[in-house]
Amino acid sequence: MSGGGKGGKQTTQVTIPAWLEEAARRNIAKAEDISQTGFVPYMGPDVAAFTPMQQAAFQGTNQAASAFGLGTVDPMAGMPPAQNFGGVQGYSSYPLYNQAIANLQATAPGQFAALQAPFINPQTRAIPGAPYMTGAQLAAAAPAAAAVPIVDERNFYGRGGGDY
Amino acid sequence: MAGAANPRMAAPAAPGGNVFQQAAGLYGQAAAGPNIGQFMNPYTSQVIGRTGMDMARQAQIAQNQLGAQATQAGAFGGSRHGVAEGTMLGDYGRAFGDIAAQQRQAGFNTALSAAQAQQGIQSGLASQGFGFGQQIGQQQMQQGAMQQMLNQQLIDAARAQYAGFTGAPQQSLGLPMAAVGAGNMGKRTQTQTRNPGPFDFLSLGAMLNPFGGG
Repeated sequence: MSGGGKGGKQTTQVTIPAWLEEAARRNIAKAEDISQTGFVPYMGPDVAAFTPMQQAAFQGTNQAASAFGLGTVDPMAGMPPAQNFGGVQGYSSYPLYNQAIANLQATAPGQFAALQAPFINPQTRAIPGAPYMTGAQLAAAAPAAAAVPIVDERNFYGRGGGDY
Repeated sequence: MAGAANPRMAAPAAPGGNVFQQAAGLYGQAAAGPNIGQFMNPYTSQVIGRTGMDMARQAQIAQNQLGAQATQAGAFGGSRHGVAEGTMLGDYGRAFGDIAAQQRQAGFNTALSAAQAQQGIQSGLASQGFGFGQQIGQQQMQQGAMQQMLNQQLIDAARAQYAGFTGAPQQSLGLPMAAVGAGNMGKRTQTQTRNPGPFDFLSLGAMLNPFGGG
């Protein structure tokens, strides 16, 4: 897009074919819906636990240390109890993650709510409230939005209750 | 003597302390030098004394025989008898001195060898004990490091999940943005419209003028 000579004008237009425009709209709407899924934590094992043979080696070292008068401790002290994941002994980071999330919720409930606001309810699949609902969701929820209790994070964004 | 307990031999020290303390004790003992006195035969003096008594008895017998011979020769109590008796007793005395010295030297050499052997054993045990302690310590450290690494992996995994949770809103922007971008990608039609103005011929002239800027 550039100007022409003196008194002249040149215009460049970008147009999308009709067949593509409709598909693009659907794709964007679908992308918006998918983007509301939210974070899905992994709850399975992250690290394999020590095998019984390794634990026996720990115990042997402990006994050797004891025999020579050196300091000993329970070889598995300080280790979380291993969990059984379908026959595999392992450790999951999910409890740690869960604790961190609970701490966040307890110490910064506003931020916690704001982080969850753009996404569906993980249990009920309820759609997020405005301004994060999009397209048909927003239109469908508009009449009911006024009746929805104002959530705390409105102050976080500096918006009035009407936005919700 | 034989089979009897050596009263000078110290009783082995009861193991006390950890392996490093025991190794250090053995090292100190070895560094102090061979403890010869610990291995000296306490009955050496008694053995030498008994040897002396035997030799004195033999000297007495020899003296008696010498006196009898002197009597037969009618020289008992004479100067020649006295010289012969003195020579004979002197020989016995020197012989006893040599034997006593040999016995004491043999006892010393035996004790020295035993003490040096013990010194070597102490030195070896000190080194071995220290090595055992070191190996066990390193193994404990290695195993502890394995456990610490496992815990660290769990913490890192939890932190990554936490980052996923807190970054989810920002992350969620990516998909719609990509969808918007995909709607235009390579599928657009471009139309150019040119509406030259009334004085557009001037720009045409400028383009044709080889000396002018255009």
